[in-house]
Amino acid sequence: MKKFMLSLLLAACALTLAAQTEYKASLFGCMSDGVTLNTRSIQTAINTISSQGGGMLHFYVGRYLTGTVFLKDNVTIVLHEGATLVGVPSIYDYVAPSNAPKGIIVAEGQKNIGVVGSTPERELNTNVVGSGIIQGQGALLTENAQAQLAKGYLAKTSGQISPALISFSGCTGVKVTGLMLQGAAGDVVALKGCTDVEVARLLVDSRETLGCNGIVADGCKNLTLTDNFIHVSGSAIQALQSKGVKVKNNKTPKGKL
Amino acid sequence: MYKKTFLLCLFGACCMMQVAAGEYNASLFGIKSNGTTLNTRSIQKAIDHISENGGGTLHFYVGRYLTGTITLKSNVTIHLHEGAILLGSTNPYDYEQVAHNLTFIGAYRAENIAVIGQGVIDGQGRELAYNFLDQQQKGIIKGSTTYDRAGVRSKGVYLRECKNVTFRGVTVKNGADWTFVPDQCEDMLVDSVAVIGHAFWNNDGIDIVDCKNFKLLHSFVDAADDAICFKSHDANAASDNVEVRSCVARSSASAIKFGTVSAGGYKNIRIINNKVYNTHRSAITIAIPDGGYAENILIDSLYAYNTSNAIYLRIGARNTSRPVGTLKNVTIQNLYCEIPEAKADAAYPYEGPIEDNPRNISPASIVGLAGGHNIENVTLRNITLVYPGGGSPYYAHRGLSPAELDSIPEMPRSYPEFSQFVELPAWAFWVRHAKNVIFENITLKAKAYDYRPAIVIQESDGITLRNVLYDEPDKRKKQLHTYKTTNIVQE
Repeated sequence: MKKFMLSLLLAACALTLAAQTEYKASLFGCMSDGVTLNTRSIQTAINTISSQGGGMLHFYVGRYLTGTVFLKDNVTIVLHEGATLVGVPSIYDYVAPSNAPKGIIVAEGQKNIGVVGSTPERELNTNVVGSGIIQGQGALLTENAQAQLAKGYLAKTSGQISPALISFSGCTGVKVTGLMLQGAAGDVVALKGCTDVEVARLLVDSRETLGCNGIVADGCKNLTLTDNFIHVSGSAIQALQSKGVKVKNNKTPKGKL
Repeated sequence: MYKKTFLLCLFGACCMMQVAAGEYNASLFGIKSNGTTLNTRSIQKAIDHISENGGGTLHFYVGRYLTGTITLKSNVTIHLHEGAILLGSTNPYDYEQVAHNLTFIGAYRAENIAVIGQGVIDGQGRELAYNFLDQQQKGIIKGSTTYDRAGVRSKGVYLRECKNVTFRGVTVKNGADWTFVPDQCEDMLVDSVAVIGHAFWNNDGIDIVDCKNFKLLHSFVDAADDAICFKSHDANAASDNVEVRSCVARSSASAIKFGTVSAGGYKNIRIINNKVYNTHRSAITIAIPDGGYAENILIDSLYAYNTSNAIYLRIGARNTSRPVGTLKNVTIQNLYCEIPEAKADAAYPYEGPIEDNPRNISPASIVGLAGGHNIENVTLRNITLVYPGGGSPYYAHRGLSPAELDSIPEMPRSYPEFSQFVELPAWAFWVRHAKNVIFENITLKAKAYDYRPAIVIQESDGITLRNVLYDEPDKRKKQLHTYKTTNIVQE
C-alpha cells in the first residue's frame, strides 16, 4: 500500500512537471475544420513535446480529423469542451501497437501518458465529466474496411478492421479521464499489460458496431475504473487477468454496474 | 406620322443616353476577371468615380474578380451578373477597417446603395482566417488566440449607418468572421439573397444590428454560427420595425437568434413564415444577457425540422454595471418543431460543439432571473413539438423534489445557451421566473419513454394552460409539475 501511495505521489509529481509546458494544436498546423487530415501534424506535435521533456497538447473547440497517432513519454492530450478528435474512416490510416488492437490514440511501452477532457473555464485535473470527445465513425469505417476485405486488398487478420478509440500496450502511468467516447469500430478503450491506470468520468456511447466493448483491460496492474457511464453494444467493462483492479460507481443505461 | 415617330425616337434616344451615362462596365477601369489580378484599387476607383459623377451602376460580368477591401459609396449600384464573383484576397494585409470593422465589402454613411444580380461575393474566409492566425502566431498582428483561433479576422459585408440599401439576388459567402452585417442601417431591403457562412468559426449568417425599417425576404441563410441574428451593440440604439419573411435558415448554432450582445434592444420585430432545418441549437433564441430590452416580438408560422431545441427565452446579467434587461410581449404561434436524437448538424463544416454534459435532450425553456427579473407576457399558441424522448436517469438525473428544483443554478453571468443548466427536470418545457405565460393549443409528443414529466414550471406567476396535449408512451405519468408558482389556470 505504501509503495502504491508513493508511486501515486511520484506520478502526481511527474504530472505537475509535465503540466508546466503547454502547447496549442494550431502551432503544429492542426486544423479544426473537420476535413483536413491531421495525423502527421498531431504526431509531430506529440514527438516534439515528448522530446522537449513532455507537456500538454491542447485541442480547443473544433473537429480534428486524424488516423492513428502514437502517444509518447510524458505527453498528455487535453481535449477541451467542444474539441473532437474524429477518426478518419479509412482503415489504412490505422496502425496497431504491439500486442494490442489498432486505435486512434495508441501507445506502446510509454510512461506518464494521458488523454483527458477539460473545459477552458475550469482548472485542469478537477472532476470534469465527459468533456472533449473522441469519435470513431465506427459504422463508416467498418463499412469501408469490409469493402476492402471483400475486394481482397485487406488481409483477414483479427483486429485489423476494428480499431479501438484508445489502445495502449505496456504503458505505465496512464490517465484517460473526463472524455466523451463515441462510435468505436472495435472496443472503446483497450489496455494491454499497462500499470497504474486511471480511467474515470467517461461518457461512452458506442453502439454503431456489434460486440463493441467499453473498457477492456488485459493483464493490467493497479487499474482504477470509476464514475464512468458506458452505453455499448457489447459488455461495459472487461478486466481479464489483471491485478489491483478497483471498479467503483460505473453505470450503464440499465443502472449501476 | 413620320414626324411623330421621329420625335418619339429622339425622346427614346435621349432617355437611353441618360441611362447609359450611369452604366459602367468593370473593364472600363482596367478591372480584370482572371481571378489572379488583385483589383482592389481599380474597383475602388470605379466606385469613387461613379459616386462623384452623379451615381450609376458598375457591372461585373462573368469572371473571378480578386480584391481586398472595397467600400461602397452613395448612389452606386454594384450589379454582379450571373457568373461574376467578387473574390476575397487570402492575404490579411489586403483588408482594411470600415467604421472600425475589418471587412471585405464595407460602407459607412452611404445612401442609395445596392448590390444586385445573380452573382457572388466570396470572401475565401477559411484560407484567409488561417493566414490571419499565422500572422498572429508570428506576432505581427496583435490579437487574442482564444480557443486557438485568430481573434482578428475580417467580416464578409459590413455596412454602418447607411440609408436606402438594397441587396437583391446575390450570394454572400465565406467571410472569415460574420458573413453579412448591416449595423445601424435604415430603410434596408435584403431580398432573394443567399447568405452562406461556414468558412470558419463564428461565421454568423446575417447580423441585423440596431437597424430600423429593415426587411429580409425570400432569402436562404446557412451558417456555422447563428443564422438570422439580431444584435444590439449600442446602448443608445435598437432594432425597430424589422420583418423577416419567407426565409429558410440552417445553423450550427441557433437559426433565429436575438443576441448575444443586447446593449440596446429589439422592438416591433415580425418573423413570419420561415423554415429552419439541420440546426444544432435552437430554432428561436431570444437572449437579454447584457441589459437592454426585447419587446413586441411576433414569431408566426415557423417550421423547424431536425433542430435540437425549439425555443429559448432568457434574461441574464453578464454586465454587472448595467441594470438587468427586460424581455416581454412575445408571441410565438403556429410553430412546428421536430427534435432529433442524433446530432442535428452532423457533417456540416464547423459542426457545433457538444457541450454541457451529461444531459438528456433539453426542453424548450423560458428562464428569467431571480429577484423579480421575470420574462413577461409570453403567448405560445398552436405549437407542436416532437421529441425523441428516452431520457435516462442513469445518464443524467434531475428530480422534482424542492431541493433538486432549487438547486438548478441561476447562472446570471454565463453565456445564455439552452443547454447551460446541464440536466433539466422536464422533457418538453421548462419555465422559471416568468409572469403571464399562456400555453394554448399545444401538443407535446415524445416517441420513447422519458423519466421526466413534459412540463415543469417553477417560481413563476400567472400561467394559463389551455388545451395542452401530451403524447408519450407512459400514459399514466403526471406530465405537468409546478413548484412555487401562483395563479395557474388549466382549461
